[in-house]
Amino acid sequence: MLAYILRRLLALLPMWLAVSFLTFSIMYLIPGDPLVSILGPSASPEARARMLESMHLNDPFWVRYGKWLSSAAQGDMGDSIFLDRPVTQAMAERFGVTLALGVGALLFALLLGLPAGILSAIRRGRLLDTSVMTTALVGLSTPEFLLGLVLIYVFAVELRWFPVGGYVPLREDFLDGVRHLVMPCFTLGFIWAALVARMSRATMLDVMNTDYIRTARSKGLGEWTVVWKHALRVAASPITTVVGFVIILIVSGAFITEIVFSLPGMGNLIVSSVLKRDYPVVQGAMLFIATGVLLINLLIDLLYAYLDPRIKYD
Amino acid sequence: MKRVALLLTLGLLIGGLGLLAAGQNYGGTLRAAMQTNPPTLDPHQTTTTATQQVACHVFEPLIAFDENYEPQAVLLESWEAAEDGLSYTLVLRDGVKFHNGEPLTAEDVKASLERIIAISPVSGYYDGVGEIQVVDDLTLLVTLEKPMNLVSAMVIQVTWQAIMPKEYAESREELHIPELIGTGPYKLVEWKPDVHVKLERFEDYVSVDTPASGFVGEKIAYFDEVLLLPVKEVGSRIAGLETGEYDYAEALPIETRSTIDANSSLASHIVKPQWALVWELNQNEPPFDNVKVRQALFAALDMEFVVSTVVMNDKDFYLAHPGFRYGPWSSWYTEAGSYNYNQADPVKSQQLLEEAGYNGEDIILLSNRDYYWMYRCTLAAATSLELGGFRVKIEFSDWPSQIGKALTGEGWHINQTGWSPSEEPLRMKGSLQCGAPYAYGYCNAEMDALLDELSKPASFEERKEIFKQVQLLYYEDVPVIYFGDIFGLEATRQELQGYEAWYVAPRFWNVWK
Repeated sequence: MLAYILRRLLALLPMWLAVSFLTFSIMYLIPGDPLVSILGPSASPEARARMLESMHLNDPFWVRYGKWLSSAAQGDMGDSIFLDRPVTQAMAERFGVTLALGVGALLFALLLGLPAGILSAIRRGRLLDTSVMTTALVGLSTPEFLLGLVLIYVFAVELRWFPVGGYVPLREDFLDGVRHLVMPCFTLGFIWAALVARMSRATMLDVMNTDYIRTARSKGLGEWTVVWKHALRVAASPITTVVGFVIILIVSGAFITEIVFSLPGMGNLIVSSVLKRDYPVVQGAMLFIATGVLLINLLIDLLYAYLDPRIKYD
Repeated sequence: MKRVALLLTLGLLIGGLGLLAAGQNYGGTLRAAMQTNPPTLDPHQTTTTATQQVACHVFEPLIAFDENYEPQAVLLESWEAAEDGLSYTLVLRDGVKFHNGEPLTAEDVKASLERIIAISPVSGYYDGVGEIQVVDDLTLLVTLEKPMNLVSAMVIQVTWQAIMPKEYAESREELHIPELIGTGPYKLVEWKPDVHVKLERFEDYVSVDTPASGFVGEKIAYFDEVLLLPVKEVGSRIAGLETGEYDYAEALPIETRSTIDANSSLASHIVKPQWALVWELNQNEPPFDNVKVRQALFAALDMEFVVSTVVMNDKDFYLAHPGFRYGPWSSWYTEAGSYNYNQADPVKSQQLLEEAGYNGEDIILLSNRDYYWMYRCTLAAATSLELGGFRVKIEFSDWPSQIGKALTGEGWHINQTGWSPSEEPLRMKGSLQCGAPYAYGYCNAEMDALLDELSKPASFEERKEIFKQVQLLYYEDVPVIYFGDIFGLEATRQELQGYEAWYVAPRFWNVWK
C-alpha cells in the first residue's frame, strides 16, 4: 500500500507540472492587464509603462514562468498586485472561510442527499421516491446564485432569521459565525445533495437487485439490516466516488456562493483577481486548488481499499 | 435625597431625549454597502472611483468644487496668479492638522504636488509646472514654464490632489496604512480586502468655516466609525439595506427605485450626473480618419433614443442634451452648434458615407457587459448605425480586456466608454489633444490651439467663450461621440439623516443617525 501511495504521488508530478503551466499561461491569454484596474482607464502611457516595468510584465514569458515555477515549488507564489501581501498570505486569510463553507456544504449534501437517496431506493416507485427525485431534479436545475438570492429574500429579508451576508469568524463568535454560514452552506449543499441523492439511489437500486441481497432477505433478515449491513457496504464505494466528485463541485460552486453572500473566501478572491488581472493570485490560487483536487482524488482511491476488501493496491 | 436623585435622573433623561429629538447625533457606525473593493488606497496611484470614494473622506485638496461646481478653497486660505501668468502664490490655512497630529505646512504641500506630478496617472494635467518653492511655513510659490491655469489643473479631480505629510509624500512607492495620513474628517484605520475599509472620526479635524457645499465647507464627522463594505452582488446590497444591516447602498439598478420608494424605511437618491455615454473613435485607421464618415456617424445616431433606452426611458435618470461634456446643471453648458445634435437622419448618413467612399467595411465596436449602461448604449446605438448604412460588428469582452484592446489602437473602430463628471474642460485634453493617448489619432491644430487657450489663466467668462468654440468644432469635426448623461441610484435607511447624493463619491460627513 505504501509503495502504491508513493507511486501515485510521483505520478502526480507530471500532472502538477502540466496544471502549473496551464494556470500560469491561461491568464496571459486573456486580453487586458492589471493596469486598468490599478491606474484607472485614463492613465497616461508613461504611467502605464512605468508600472509595467516595475511589475516585470514586460519580461519574456518563459523567464516569468521559470521564476514563478521555481518559487511556487518552494511555496512562494509571489505577491498580489492589489492586496499588498504575499499570495500565500492572501489565500491563508481566506482559506478558512472557504473551508467552513465547503465543510458545511458537504455536511448538508451528505446529510440531505444520502438518506434521501437510500430511502428513495428502498421505497422505489412510491410517493417518497417521486418526491425526492423531483426535488433533486429541481435542485440540480437551479443555479446557485438564484437559490441564494431566494433564500436571502425569504429567510433574511422577510423572516429575519439569518443575516443577508457577510462572515463572522467562528473563533470570534461561534454562534453568530454559524448563523452567517447556514444559508450559504445550504445553498451550496442543497444543489449537490440532489446529485448525491440521485447517484446513491441508482447505486442502491443496483445493489438491492443482486443475488446476495436476495439471499440475505430469504434468510429472514429484516429490511433495515439488509440495507445497512449488506447493501450499503457494497454501495459505499461508488457513493464515495460521487462524494469525491461533489467535493470538487463544491469548490467550484463556492465562487458564486461567496459572491452572493459576500463571504471573503478564496472564491471571492479568485473572481475579483481574474476581473482585475491580479495574475499572481489567480495563478497561485488555481494551482493550490488543482493540487488539492489531485490529492482528494488520491484519497478517494485509497478509501476504496478500506471500504471494499476486494480492492487491493500493490 | 432619593427624590432629588430621581428628579435629576428624570431631568437628564428628558434632556437627553430632547437633544436626540433636536437633530444631529454623534456616535455609532455607518455601514455602507459598496459595489467593489478599491485596488489601492493610495490616491496618487489611481483614478478609480472606489479609491476616490475612500480618499475624499481621508484627504483634502487645496481647492475643490462647491455644489455649483465653482472652485473654492479647502486647504488654501487664498491663491493669486501673477500678472504674467507664470507663477501662482498659494497661501495655506493656518492650524490644519494631519491625522498624526502634525500641522500642515508648505513643505507637505510641495512634496505632495511633486509626488502627484511624478507618479500620478494623470500627471499630464500639471504639464507646465516648473518649480514649487516654499516661501514660508504657509506659503508656496509655483513657477510655470508657460502661462497655465493652475487652479483648473488642481480641480480636475479633487481626490487626486490629496495632500499628505512630506515624510510619506516623498516616497514614489505605493503607500499603505499607516502611511496614508490626510487632513480629512475621517482617518484610515484598517483595510481588509473583501471585508471592509474602516474609517474613524478624526477628533482634531479643522473644518472650513463656511456652509457645507459640494466638497468644500463645513464637514462634521458625526459617526465614530464608517465601514465601507464591498458587497458585489446588487441583490445583497438591497437586501442588506432592507434588513438594516447597511445604512447606505450604492449603484443600484434604477428599476429598483419603485421598490425602494415603496419601503417606508428607505430613501432613494439620484446621483446627478453620474456617467456620460461616449464613443471613442479610432482615427488611426480608416474609415474614421475621414471626417465625412465621422459626420455620417453623428448624422445616423438618435441620441434621445440611445440615452433613454439605457435607463429604460425613466426620465428621472437621463438627459439627452446638446452640451458637449456639460449638461444644463453646469455653468459650462452651452447650446453652441446644437442644431447638429440628435439628427437621427439615416438618409443624410448614407449620403455622407457615399461621398466618403465607404464600401461597407466592418465597423468593429468594442464594448462590455460589465457595465449595464455601456452594454445597453452599444446595443441601442448600433441599430441607428445599421440604418445609417454602417456595417457594424460588436465585440463584447470584459472591461479590462476591452481597454487592453483599445489601447493597442488596432483592430477596432469604436470604443464604447463612459466619462465620469468633471467640471473642468481641461480634462478633455486627454481625448482631444493631438497625440493624447485617448485621442486615438485625432489631431486638429485648431482644437489644440483652443485647448491651449483654455489652459491659460483667464476669467470664467473668457474661458467659456473659448469652450463654445471647442463645442462648435466638436460638432464639425466629431472627434468623439457624446450621447448624453445618465444618472445613478443610491439608497439609504430613513434613519440616516443629512445624506445628499452628489457627484462621484458618497459623502459621509454631515450625516448622522
